[in-house]
Amino acid sequence: MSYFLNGFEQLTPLLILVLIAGAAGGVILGAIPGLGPAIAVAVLLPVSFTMDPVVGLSLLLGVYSASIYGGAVPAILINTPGTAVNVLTTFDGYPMTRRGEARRALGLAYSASFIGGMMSILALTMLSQPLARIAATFTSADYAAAAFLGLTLVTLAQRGDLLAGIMMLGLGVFLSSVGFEKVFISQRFTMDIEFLRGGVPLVPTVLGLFAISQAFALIAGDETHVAEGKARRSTLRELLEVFHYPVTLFRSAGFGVIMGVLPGVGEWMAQFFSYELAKRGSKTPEKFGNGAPEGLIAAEAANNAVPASAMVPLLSLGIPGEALTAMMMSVFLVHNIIPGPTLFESQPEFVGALYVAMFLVNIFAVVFLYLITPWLIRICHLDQRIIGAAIFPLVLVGAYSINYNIVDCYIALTFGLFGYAFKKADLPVAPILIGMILGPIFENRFRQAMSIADGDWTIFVTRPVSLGLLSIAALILLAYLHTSFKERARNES
Amino acid sequence: MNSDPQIAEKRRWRAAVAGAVFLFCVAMLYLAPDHSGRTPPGTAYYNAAWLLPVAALLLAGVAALVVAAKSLRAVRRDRSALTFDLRKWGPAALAASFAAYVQLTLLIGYTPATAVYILALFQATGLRLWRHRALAVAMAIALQLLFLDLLDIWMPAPVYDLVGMFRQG
Repeated sequence: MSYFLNGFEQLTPLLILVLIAGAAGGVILGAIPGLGPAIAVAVLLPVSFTMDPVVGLSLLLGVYSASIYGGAVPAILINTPGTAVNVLTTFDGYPMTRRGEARRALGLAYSASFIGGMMSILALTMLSQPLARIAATFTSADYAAAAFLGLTLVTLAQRGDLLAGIMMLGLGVFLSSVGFEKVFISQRFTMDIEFLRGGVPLVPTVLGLFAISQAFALIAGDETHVAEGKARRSTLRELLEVFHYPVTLFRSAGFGVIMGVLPGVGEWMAQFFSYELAKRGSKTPEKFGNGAPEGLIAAEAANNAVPASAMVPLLSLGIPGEALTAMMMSVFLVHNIIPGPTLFESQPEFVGALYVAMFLVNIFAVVFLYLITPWLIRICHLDQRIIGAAIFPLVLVGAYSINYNIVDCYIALTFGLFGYAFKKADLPVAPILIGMILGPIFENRFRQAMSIADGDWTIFVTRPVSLGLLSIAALILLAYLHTSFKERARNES
Repeated sequence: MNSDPQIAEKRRWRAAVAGAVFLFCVAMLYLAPDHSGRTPPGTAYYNAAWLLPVAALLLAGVAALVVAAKSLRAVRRDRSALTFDLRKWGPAALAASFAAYVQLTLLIGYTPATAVYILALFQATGLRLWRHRALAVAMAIALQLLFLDLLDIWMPAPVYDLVGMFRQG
């Protein structure tokens, strides 16, 4: 906490200006479908190298955190997640918009995001070192069990459509295995096609499955949605409605914090854990996916709780947990700052300034979002064909700028066609992405754990953490099967 | 029996997509012995390169087969409700147009290609007022200013750099 308080002394007008610019830019970039934090941070990375390390990192952190705030807006208004981590927001946010409750949905999303972000910063400043110590004790078996639990939850989240969920998850895991495999450095399913050697790229896949397929649907006239008649900001009552669901709110934010600390887990598992738990704990689980406020709160509180806590392993251990913190690590290295336990002793003012930067970014982002809501909400009033047409040039830039490779645009287009077919068939696309992300984590950690144990499976049940995680997976699976059998018996009778 | 045309259409799509996924999985499993990576002799099974992709393909394939079979059964029941309306070729045409847009970008540059593409899309989809045309050009210029000028994103160098020629006067 002392780092945080000392951090205020490091504030300069330039730093505040950069934070405001980062928050505003992040919100806008996040709100543009296909231009999520990864692209925004990647684009700004070379710019940040020229700045003072605190200022440069603050800019990147501002864009990272604020883009997740902004990503909720198109997810709620036009059923297209602005960033990949806003996928679950579409489940309940968009149905609320269709019901004419866009303002309420935005108010809930802003408040839940703000609480999630603030809890994350609170946890970071107060618990960063103890939490990092716990995460550091995780073994490969624990990580493999965590990934397995995530895969199980994602499949079971497709309630009533379990087989479709398994099919899509299997496809996602398969796609993640394409390219070079790491143990024997051999090619898997590349079919001697050069661009597949690096694997199926995630960002063009996300752009295709979500953005291009949505553009197709918008232009082809498959999508119709009802916008609110008046474009106004959420009222105070709508912003405070989030506190009507305190358990969902704080549990989801708590999960986000824990998942953010675990390297390689991040927003995806945080929101799916939270969403599934909120659904199971709800008195009206059937409303989830059809515009349940609790579902929206769970998704937004959890994914906004991740950015600050994702910095814990980077700052405390020097281990970047995912792609975005890995990009930020390069800023440390360019400025010859070594992240790790010694950082807290050698550069306390730097750590403090980062804490304060993250704190202020959350405030700036939510204030900026609130102020521009009337303009953002106008997206709903725009002709669908205009929104659809605008998505294509954004996708072209987004897909190309990752690797500066035009092939990525065609990959995005291909997945756009797949995404459109999945949309028409009412098949869930989120499990494909989860499979692509968790598949490699599970495979690598599973191989490591089994190699360490010399092929002894009991390693997964002798470790308390992995045993606990696998027990949770088994219990949830049993509960699901029990409910399904009961429902089937009731239908037959 | 459900005779709702929308549900019937959804089931038809589902049967087709799940069937395609099943065939894809079977094809990949057939190719797996030659394409699932190198696993040296004596490698423990848990380190085998083929383990994850083959397990994933089996999982996806079996699930796809069941989904396809279920949907196909429902499609047969709902056959009377199908209209076989083939007029909606929108997405296929849009996909082809996007591919043409990418090629146009390589030819004349991002901004002119974007202006031409959005104009064409607007025209094709019935947005034919002057304000729509102005909007298309404004969008292209705004994207040029934001991405290429402000954010300095590199786009492929075009064969004919119209923006460069314009700037040089």
